[in-house]
Amino acid sequence: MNVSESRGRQERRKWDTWRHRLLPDGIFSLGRTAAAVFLIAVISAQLLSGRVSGSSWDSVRAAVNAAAGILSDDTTQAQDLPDAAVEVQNDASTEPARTEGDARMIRRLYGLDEQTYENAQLYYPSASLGADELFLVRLKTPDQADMVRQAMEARKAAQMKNFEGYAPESYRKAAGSRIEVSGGYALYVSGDDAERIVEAFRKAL
Amino acid sequence: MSFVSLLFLVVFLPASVLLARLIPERFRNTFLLLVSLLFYAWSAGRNLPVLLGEMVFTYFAARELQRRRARGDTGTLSFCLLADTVLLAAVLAVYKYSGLPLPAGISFFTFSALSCLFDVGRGKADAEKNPVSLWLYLAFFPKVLMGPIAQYADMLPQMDSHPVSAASLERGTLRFLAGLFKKVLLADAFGDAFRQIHALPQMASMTAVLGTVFYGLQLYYDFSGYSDMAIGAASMFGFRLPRNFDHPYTAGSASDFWRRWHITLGAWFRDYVYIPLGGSRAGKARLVLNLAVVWLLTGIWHGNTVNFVLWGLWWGIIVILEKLVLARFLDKLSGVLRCALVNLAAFSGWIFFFSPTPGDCLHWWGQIFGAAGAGFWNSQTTWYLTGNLILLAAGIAACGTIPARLVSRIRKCRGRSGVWILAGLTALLLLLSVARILSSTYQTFLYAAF
Repeated sequence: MNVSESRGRQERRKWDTWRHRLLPDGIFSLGRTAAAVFLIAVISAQLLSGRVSGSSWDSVRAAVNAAAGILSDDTTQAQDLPDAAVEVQNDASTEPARTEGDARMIRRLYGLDEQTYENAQLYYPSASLGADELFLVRLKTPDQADMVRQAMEARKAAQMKNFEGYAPESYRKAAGSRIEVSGGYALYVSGDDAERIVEAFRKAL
Repeated sequence: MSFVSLLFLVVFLPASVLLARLIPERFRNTFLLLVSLLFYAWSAGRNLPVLLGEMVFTYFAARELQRRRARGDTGTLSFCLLADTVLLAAVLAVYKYSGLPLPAGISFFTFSALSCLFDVGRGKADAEKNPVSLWLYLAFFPKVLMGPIAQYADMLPQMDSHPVSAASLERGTLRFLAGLFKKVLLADAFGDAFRQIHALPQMASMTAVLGTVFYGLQLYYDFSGYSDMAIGAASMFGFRLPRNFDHPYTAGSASDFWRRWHITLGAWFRDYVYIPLGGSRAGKARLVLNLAVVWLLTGIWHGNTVNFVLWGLWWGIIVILEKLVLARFLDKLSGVLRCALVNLAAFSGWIFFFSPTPGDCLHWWGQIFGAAGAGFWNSQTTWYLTGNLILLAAGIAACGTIPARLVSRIRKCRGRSGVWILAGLTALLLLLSVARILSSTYQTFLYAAF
């Protein structure tokens, strides 16, 4: 037996002596119940407090972009790719259906000011009659959820109205667009890949 | 805080190791517990109450089970054990399935807590009387986020005595560095390559196959790299954590693969589910049922989507078929062919892992079988293959025992030249790893999501 093992035993004996002096046996049952109640209370509080996702903006954006086939800094660091790689990417897809928009475009299409969100990313239709769109927002506070959802619903309604009657394919995409507000994030996505992007978004949260 | 962040590598780990050596032995566990809680709070602060709640609950529940066992009160003992299991499983299930953000490491520390309760309830080990020792077993920072899932009865003797020697420190440092190289130089590079292919709207059959191979290698180097770092870090504090990977892609059968991949999870299900259900001793029908239950639970443990359940069933069916039908045919095949078949099953299974939905999974399979109309092989395939050829060769070579044999051969070099060569190689790899950590965006560990 080495020195540290014998010390360990001495520690145990000392602890036993103190435990018998201080703790009656019933304390274990009581402690177990109290800890169980504490765990249930923690979970209940989290369930009631709006389920804010712990996922970072970068990870959610990367997951959504990967599902949408967008080469962003987070997915492939496209700016570092050699020309041959870009050619391969371009071979694979025809003209991209979505173009990246800035804060001004977000304000124009959704009426949302930069101050109203923590982070945002917009890919709006490349063609004038296109309907492929992706708008991802990280809310500043949970109480912004309703406001952002309304902005997205207004955009959806406006797009449907724009295409109604003379652009059936784009109308179909706009009508089938998806709005998801969850975990402190909001997503508006329109296009044939909407379902896949929504799934990736949910999984990333 | 991630194992591959500079804060952890340069400040947290060295400072913890140094302070742990300076602190008197009787306070060492308390210090390590506080350091572990600080690490967890830094990594997943808002979920610290869940870990603390499970720690306190497990301590009192284990003591209560021990008390009832000592009194021979088997009826209430079984009831208490069942109630405790249901509570911990329910906590895990609520987080996995309610949409609440998943507390980091909950699948791992909950399974450690259950291991403690099962071992105490069944009389395999005594309940730890010192709460600090038990809580350190549950929350020890090298393993709290992603395992290995060390079983309570195996870890208990180490909690009282875990002397740090120069040898354990050296062993731990080398193991930690090996894990760091796996994660930063291989896993993240495979991850980049996979993401590029995954982002393509359509691809040739072999591009999809290449993407699948990249993902399988990323997953292996990511998780085995983390496990090596965890084992290495634990060794620096005198703890011996169980091995989690043993060259799985060289396995000769499906069962063998699962004895080599995520070994501690397999051992957990074997010891606490499969064997208590009767294992293979209760007839063929019962064997099939037991295996189906184990694989269904393994799938569910990994995630809350249908795909993980399908992935569990995929392996369940393969293992059952192998045990009942295929074993006699497989025995007649050469080792290389058997290994190829196992890898075919393993890499096919990873498609369930990286696809968010069954539809995406089918879409990927469609690409493999040419549904995209991009042919069997095109310029994309050539570009992605040639662009990652060295990485692929290194990744495949490192799956086997080549690196270990190479290190052993260098060590045998005459005089001290072997030591210098190894030191130089380690320094070079460390330099490359740090450069990559500094230059690239942070990539999380894949198994952190489970």
